[in-house]
Amino acid sequence: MRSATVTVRSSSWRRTLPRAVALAVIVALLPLPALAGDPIKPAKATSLAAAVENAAKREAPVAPRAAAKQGGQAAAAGQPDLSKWSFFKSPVGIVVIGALAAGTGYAIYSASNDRIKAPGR
Amino acid sequence: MKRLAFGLSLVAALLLLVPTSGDAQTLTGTISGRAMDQQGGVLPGVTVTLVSRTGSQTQVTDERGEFRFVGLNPGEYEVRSELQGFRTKVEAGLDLGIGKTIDLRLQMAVATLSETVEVTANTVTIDTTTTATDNTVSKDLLFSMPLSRTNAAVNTLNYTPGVNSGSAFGGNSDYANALLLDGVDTRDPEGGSAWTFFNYNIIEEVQVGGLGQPAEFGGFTGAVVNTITKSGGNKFSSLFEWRLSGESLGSDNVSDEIEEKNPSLGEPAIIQDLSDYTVQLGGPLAKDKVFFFGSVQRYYVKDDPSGPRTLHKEVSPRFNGKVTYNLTPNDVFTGSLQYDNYNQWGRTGMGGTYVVTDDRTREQDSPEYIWNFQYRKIFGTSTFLEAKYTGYWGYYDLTPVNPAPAIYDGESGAYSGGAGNPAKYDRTRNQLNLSLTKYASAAGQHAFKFGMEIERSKIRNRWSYASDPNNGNQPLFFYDYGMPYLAYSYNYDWQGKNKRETFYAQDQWKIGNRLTANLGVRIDNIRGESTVEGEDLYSATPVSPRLGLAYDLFGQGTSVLRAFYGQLYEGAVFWTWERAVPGTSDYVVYEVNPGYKLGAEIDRVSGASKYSVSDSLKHPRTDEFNIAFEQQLFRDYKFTGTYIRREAKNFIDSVLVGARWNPISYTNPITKAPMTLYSWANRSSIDQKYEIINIDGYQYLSPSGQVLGTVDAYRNYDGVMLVFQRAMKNRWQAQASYVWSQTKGTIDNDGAEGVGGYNFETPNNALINRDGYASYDRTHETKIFFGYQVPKIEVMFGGYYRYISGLPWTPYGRVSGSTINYTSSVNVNLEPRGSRRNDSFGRFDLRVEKVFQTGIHRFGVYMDAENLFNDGTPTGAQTRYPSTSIAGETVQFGDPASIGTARQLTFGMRWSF
Repeated sequence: MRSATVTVRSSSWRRTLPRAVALAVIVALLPLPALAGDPIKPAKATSLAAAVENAAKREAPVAPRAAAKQGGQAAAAGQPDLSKWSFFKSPVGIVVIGALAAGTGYAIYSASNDRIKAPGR
Repeated sequence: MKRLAFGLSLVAALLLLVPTSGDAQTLTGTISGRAMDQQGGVLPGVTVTLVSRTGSQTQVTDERGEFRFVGLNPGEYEVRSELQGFRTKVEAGLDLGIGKTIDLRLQMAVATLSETVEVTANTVTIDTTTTATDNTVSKDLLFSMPLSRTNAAVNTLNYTPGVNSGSAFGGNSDYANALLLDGVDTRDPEGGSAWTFFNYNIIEEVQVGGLGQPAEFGGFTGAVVNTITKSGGNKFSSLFEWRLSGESLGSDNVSDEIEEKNPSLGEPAIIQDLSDYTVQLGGPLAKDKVFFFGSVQRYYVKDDPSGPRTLHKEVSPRFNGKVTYNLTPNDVFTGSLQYDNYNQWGRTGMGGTYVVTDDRTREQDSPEYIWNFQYRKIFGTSTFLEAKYTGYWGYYDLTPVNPAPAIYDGESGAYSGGAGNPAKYDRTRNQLNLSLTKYASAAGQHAFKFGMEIERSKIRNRWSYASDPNNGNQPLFFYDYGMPYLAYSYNYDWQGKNKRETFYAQDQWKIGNRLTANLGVRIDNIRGESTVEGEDLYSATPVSPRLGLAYDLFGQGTSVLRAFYGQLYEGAVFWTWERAVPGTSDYVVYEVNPGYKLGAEIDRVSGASKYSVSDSLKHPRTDEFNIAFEQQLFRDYKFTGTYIRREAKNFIDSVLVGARWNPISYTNPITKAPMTLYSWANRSSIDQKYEIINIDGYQYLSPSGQVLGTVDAYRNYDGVMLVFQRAMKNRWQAQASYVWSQTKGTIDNDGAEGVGGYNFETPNNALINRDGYASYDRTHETKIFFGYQVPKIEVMFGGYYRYISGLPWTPYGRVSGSTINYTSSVNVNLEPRGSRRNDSFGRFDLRVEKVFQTGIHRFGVYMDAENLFNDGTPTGAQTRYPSTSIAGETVQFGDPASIGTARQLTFGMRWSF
């Protein structure tokens, strides 16, 4: 017998799953206040700078922002001052300018040389 | 207008309310808190200093001991609180995410002679006021993980739990997600896919949301990706990076068995040549006042993709510049500009990725300019205003390398000839966002936000079959059936304009100390205008309520229970109504003689007025309900569990007006059982006209008017998401997540389906085996990130592992147009959609970096290993029964059609300070 195919939805499972999740959440809530973090214990330090340095050293110095934080301290130790334009007169600063110029120059050259120029534009 | 007048009156009334403390959820962040003594008594008069890389701000706590810094850019902050007689308290390393609130309880101890400073390092923070479940990809993760660099926003989206292949929580893959750049949507106004491609290294932070979003976020039914770009600060900072890879660093993950089944997969998909460098510099032009940031990238990659193609190449130079001007600490202007051009060789032509050979590819020329201007005005501690204007101009042209027309053999499934379809796509998008945030108190504490958005986008699509010089340069596509058979001539030039005005109002209402209600409503006024005719063809005004509750379970700020209901609407999308604009050529069918010379014209359908748009269209929408629990564990860990239910509605597609259908018997070639197809009964007696409608409830009729089938258009998503996070501390960080989900329905989540597809013009596509698993359904998903720096040797390891269910697929048979009396052949599902599934697969990417720290300079040399264990699980199957031809080889139904990229090593070096 020929018959048309009509799409039919099955919905019985919809009621069960949300209830199961809600029950699981409620059961899991009971012991959780005990698992929250302990009150924060302060680190002993005799000066603000040393206290900040102790806090920073506890973190993994893997991100650039950590390097910048250390940069402020290094400046105090005779390293280039990254807040002043005179930094670019230093040997490191000259290297920075050179790398920026080289990278920018080649990219500008590439923008023209590697361009696919579609017909009709 | 009435709605607007009411809204403005409400805003004026609310502005008069008493300002008070409170938390707000905006694209910027807030750091607030209360200073107390050790007995819990409030401390007024405490000097609170907020330090960031662009300077510092100072407030004095009020009579309630409270302070609040609003309108803050995401980034790292330090809060220092000082009061004579008390130990100075420093909260260091506060990582403020996009739209987040950090609420501090500053308990100050009486100072002694030996201890004058108390420093607290950051821990995991729980926002107990929001109902949004966001996953933030922090700078730590972006900098230390082996994350994919191409198409930064979309690929970052794929790293978050619940999102794979651009499909977020059951939404359409790559088209349903709002992609914000510094807070403003920059998607392609045609279909909502990514348009702006930017340098990975300009990203400061990425926030991926989508669940429980407040009214200020709209135009999406998947997820929201908000990418914040870097800015300069008071100290110069720089990054130089260069990444390299080559053919010798790639592997082979194609087994002999797979190659035997599909020889076109024999060459593994590897990178043959990669050179990607970035040079950046940011810093002060005037201390505390003016800052700049500049970045230049040249991205070059040449690879051998999966499938018959052996060539794919991309060269993309990108230039970014940004200036930030602090007129005062409360007035901040930012302006930025990007120029890039995206040059691609080897983009696929007609037939798709699995079958296109090198001579059937196209070259892509795609330049663009992107601009962004922002102004933020802070009025004291209770009100701030933001204005953002962003836009872009660009185009992409696709030019076949072989200009000859494409030829498709319906008998074997083989393609030959050229790519077949040159095209030009022009875009302009401008958007203005204005918002006002106001804190007030009345029966609790309120953080109101009112906003408006104005979008104007222009789209022009020019598409054509390839011109055939052998036939008078007519645009032609040849359809063979073992020999030359028919030719089709077709092209279009569609021009349109998306116009949208959006108004929203939201309130984060803190009721007591523990309960917060997040209430909001968003009204979009969307029109689609035919540029040529100057009239609106599409109009919709969806109203989107958002209702959420957040409850601090134990009153300690360490756990929260959230519940949310909201209606999400798609943005303004040209796809929905583009076929109704003028500019469509006649669709002409010719007989074809040997030598591919055109014979007699056998059919012509006028392009004029072929499609119309229903007057009563409802805009595509998704209803969302979720309930979530978040708990801080052991200070540095956080657990989040979320149940999500999403129901998509108001699907739009097109139907053949007045068509009648005769059921005919057809033998299912797989089961050998009879199945019903539908022949167009009155094709010769009606004009071929289509109407774009909401497809749910549409009935297909026999010549006598009998209902043959009724469309039950739906797509539902259910998901349970579990996430464990460990903040960066003691040299390591990690995140682990597991998501179980199910996406089922009669409307797929692939491409334009449900927003502007062609899938309901014949009941052979609309009614047969349509209900089932969606194309981007992933039952199980496990993702693990970790990062660890080994002390002493300073070697950093970063890894990303995922184990994901394979994608469903559906066997189909190709039925000729003559069998069903239709204008073209049709692919018919031979089993319920998604009845079969590709194998699950696991992939692991690893980064190993050796860090050299010299003073302010950080040098790193790293190696990324993508697919370290060289997984070679097929990711797609050949779905045409019984077989198809790929690059001249017959590939059987069910055999592998695609495979993931093989193991690839990439080396990089970077210098930053």
